Amino acid sequence: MNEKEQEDLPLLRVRNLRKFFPIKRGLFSHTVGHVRAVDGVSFDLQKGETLGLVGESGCGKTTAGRTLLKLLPPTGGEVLFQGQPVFELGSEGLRLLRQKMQIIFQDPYSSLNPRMTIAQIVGEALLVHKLVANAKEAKERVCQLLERVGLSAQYVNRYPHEFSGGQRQRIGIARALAMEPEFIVCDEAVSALDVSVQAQIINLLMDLQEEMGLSYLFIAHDLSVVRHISNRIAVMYLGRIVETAEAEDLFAHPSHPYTKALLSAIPIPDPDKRPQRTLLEGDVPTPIHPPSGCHFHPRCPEVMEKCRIDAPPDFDLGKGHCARCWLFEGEAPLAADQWTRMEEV
Amino acid sequence: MFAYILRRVLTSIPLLFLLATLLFILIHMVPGDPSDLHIGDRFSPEYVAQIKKNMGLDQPVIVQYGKWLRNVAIFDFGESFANSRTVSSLVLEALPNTLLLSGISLVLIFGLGVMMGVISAVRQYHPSDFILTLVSLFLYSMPSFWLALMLILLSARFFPSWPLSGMVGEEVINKMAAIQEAKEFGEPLTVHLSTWEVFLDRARHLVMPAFALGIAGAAGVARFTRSSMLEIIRQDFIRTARAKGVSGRVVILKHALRNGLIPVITLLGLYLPFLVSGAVLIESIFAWPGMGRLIVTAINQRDYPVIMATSLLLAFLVVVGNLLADILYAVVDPRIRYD
Amino acid sequence: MTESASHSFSLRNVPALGQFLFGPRWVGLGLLLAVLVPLGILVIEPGRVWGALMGFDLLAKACLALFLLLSLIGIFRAKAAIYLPAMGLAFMLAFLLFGQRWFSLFFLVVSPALVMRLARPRREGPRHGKSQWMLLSERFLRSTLAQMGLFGVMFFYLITFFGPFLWPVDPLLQVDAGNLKLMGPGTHGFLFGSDQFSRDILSRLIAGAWISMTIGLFAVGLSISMGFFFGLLAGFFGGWVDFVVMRLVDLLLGIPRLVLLLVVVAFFKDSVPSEYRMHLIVVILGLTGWMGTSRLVRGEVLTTKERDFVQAGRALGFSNFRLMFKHIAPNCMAPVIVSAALGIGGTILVEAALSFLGLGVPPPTPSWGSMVADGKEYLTKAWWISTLSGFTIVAAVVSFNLLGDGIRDALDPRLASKRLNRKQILAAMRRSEQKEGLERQAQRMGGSPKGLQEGV
Repeated sequence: MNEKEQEDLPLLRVRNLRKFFPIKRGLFSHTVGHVRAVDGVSFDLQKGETLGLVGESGCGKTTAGRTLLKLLPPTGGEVLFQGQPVFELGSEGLRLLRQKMQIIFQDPYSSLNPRMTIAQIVGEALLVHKLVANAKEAKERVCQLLERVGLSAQYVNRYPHEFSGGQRQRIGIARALAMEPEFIVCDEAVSALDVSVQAQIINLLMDLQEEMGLSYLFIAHDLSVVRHISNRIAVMYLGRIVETAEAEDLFAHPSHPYTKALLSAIPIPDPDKRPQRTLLEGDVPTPIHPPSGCHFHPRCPEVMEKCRIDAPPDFDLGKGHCARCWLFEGEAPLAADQWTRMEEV
Repeated sequence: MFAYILRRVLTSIPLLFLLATLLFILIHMVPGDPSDLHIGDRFSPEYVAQIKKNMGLDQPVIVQYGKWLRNVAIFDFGESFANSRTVSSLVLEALPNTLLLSGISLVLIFGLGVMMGVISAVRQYHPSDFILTLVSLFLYSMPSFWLALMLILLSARFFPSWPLSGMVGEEVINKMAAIQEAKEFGEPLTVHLSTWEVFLDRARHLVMPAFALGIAGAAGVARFTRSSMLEIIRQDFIRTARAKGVSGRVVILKHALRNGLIPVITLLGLYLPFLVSGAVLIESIFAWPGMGRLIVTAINQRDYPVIMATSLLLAFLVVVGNLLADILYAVVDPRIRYD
Repeated sequence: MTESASHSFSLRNVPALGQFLFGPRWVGLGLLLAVLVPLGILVIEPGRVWGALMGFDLLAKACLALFLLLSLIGIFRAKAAIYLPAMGLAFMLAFLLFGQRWFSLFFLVVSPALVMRLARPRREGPRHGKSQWMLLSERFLRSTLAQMGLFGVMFFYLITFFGPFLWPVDPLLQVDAGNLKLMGPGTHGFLFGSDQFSRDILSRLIAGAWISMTIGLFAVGLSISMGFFFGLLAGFFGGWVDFVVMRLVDLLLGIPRLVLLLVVVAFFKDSVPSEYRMHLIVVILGLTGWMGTSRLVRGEVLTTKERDFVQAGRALGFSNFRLMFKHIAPNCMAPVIVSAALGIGGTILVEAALSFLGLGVPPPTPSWGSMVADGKEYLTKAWWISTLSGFTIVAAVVSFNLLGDGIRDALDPRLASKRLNRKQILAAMRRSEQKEGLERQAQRMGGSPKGLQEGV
């Protein structure tokens, strides 16, 4: 591959990611079925881009995020990070790669080891991977990192329980930044915080992205937050991505019926504007026995006969917008290796 | 639920097997070999060799192991060293007495314990809770043999006529002897011994040992029940019942207790080994003719076959008891049924 | 607390005394005793020290009891771990170089100094955060009962260690076998009475302490270590490792401990020389007591394994080894400590039962259980023998139980807020009012609030 082609390669390429959890029952704990948490997820992520991943609770977005980092053993699929196949690397290769792929967690109260000081938490990776010469240097780096995420360096010897939720998230971000990664999975990183604090953390993340050229996979269930930070957004339902588009495009022209319903549910703080709410009927089906064909068909207001039988592929709607719905059968289906890009058309 | 019970029974059987094996290993781990336990070094080497051959000790370990297992299965341990009866007859004679004592103590432990625990939980922050908690702390920290001695001391001082040892009182013994004699010699019966008298006599003899054995366990159960009940009481469904206007007592007895008792049943299984160990001490002190006293006497007399048989049987008792407790738990906790 | 507190002298900051007067009362009392008793011995009975009446192994074994005493103090001050090995080394050197007498002297002088050093109140400043240990000890110390438990344990270990300097009469000595047997408490110089061989009960009780305390300490130490190790393995690796370990636990839990102990001692009685009887007991107790701890640890490991900071560690590329020992294990220690404290209490009871049946540590070494057995025949004539010995057992076990309960309550987040009683809440309110009043006063006077703090 020459340099030009290498530059064109996405930073992260996920194809057909699958993660099933076996269910065991009975006298001898044999497997009777699987929870199909992630059922064939594919997307690309460019360098410096933020891809938002949204969906209801239980749709598999957190599982997807963790599986692609191989924190959970994957059931199937392929993940290429900077061209390297993540799932096939040996432990040494994985360890090296892990320096560039990091994660920030949702719960600020369990994401930091309560028995270690901030200095130890943030600096541990530096010492383990020998990125600094000694503990003193590590501490200096930690102070720098803390300043960068907006915390005062004097807190360096304190313990996590002495901080508020927002501050703990900043510490978690500092920890992720310690190894100077290129890609960070933000697993509902702001969902557990107060709204005002959420805004601060989002802005911090965006500033860091600019400074350090980071790429984010931003997993969330709050669409308005995702809109602010993402370049592109992917909507997930029951283990599959049903629609991907650029952020504004998604909000302006939602195509998949599920996306339309989600968007209509966003509260608008204006008592005069009464939006048309698309109410979905029925409950979310269980991921153990997902419906046949298109997973959404039992609740879809625009369901057709075809939807019950066959699962639709992704249809390209132009301008990097694609949707997995038979409604768009007329459009050309997306080629397997041709994926959405920021600079399309 | 059947699957659960079946599974429990199936896992218990290898347990018994393993226990027997463990004992076998223990015996053979003692420096020297088991025949040394039989005899001192007063005998000539030829005699010793003969004894060894008789005991089958010249055969490979595997064969000995097989013989041992066979003996365990049919419960034949040979003759006691101390007296000429067979070990099995000695042990089987003592078994029902131990079961009686343990059974009554168990009832005491769980009956009294649960009651104390519930009262404590309901009256939290009341002085009576505080007192009960302290009292149970002390009872729980007491060696059972010391408590037994203190009880003996107190009762000797204040209730001098209360029986303090053995299982049968003198009067009854005399009466029984007289009746036996009359039968043998064909004389008419002049003495009458009603079942009620026997029952009463036995009950009087049971009181002290059962109390001494059970009270520490009761204190432990009380502590546990208290915390378990407290957890239940704090839950919302109790608040709902109260809000609906159900009276306090009914709330406690009907709603809270049924849930709070479930974890207490798990205690049943856990307490059995302690019960057995406690029985050993209590039976020694009160001269109760059960397996505990048997094993202690046997140890003092170096009567090894009896020691082996008794300890094995005691361990078996615990396993069976655990099994029953698990089954009871399955019956009581609806969640287990659908495992 | 501000930094100024370190510069100005305050009675509050004196170790031991400060705690006794201001802080946790019972802990302060224990610390005071730990300081005053050795000093007292030096002052009041220097002859004893010089007489060096201790046998080597009694002293060596008692030293180990001191380890525990100091670590108890150290538990409530972080970083005590540094002191313990250093101290142990110093003692061993002193003993080897200077012999028994000088060693005793050295020991009596050094231990109060050590206690003072370890017990100084820790100030929280900008350079130190408040670690989990400090949080735990703060919560622990709020409860008076828990403090009493800690005091009791410290008291018993003090007696164990300084016993040989404290007992009025040699415990093995038959004072006057003809005339002075079975004397009541308080008569003829026998504070707790004498037994059938005219030996002083009090001295024997003090001497018996070290058997119970030492066996308790070592047996539980062994079972805690084993339990922690197995629990960690089972929880971390899961799968067949978990299955095997848990089946083993089930098997061993079904064995009545006392019966097993009896059988083992009975079988090994003749082949194991009597000076190793204690070791045998310790080993058997240790090998049969680890099951509960392993279950608790396994549970904790399973929960901790799923917590995000462990996942973060994996994402950061840490090895399994590092995750297991540096991240998961320290967060699973909580139930282990409770288990340890309660376990020592239980072990003391089992050992007493064994001695009662005559199968414990062989005579003439006094043991609490055997003393109760001795008194059995004289129950009505000389009730004090059995009663007082048993009572000592109860006192020791109650202390350990209170300690264990206290730690367990301190660890339970739900109970954390309930422990403050009315008195404490009022005191806290008074303090904050006082502080406000002082600051206002100082502002009015134009000076800094610092200077006024200590005067009030």
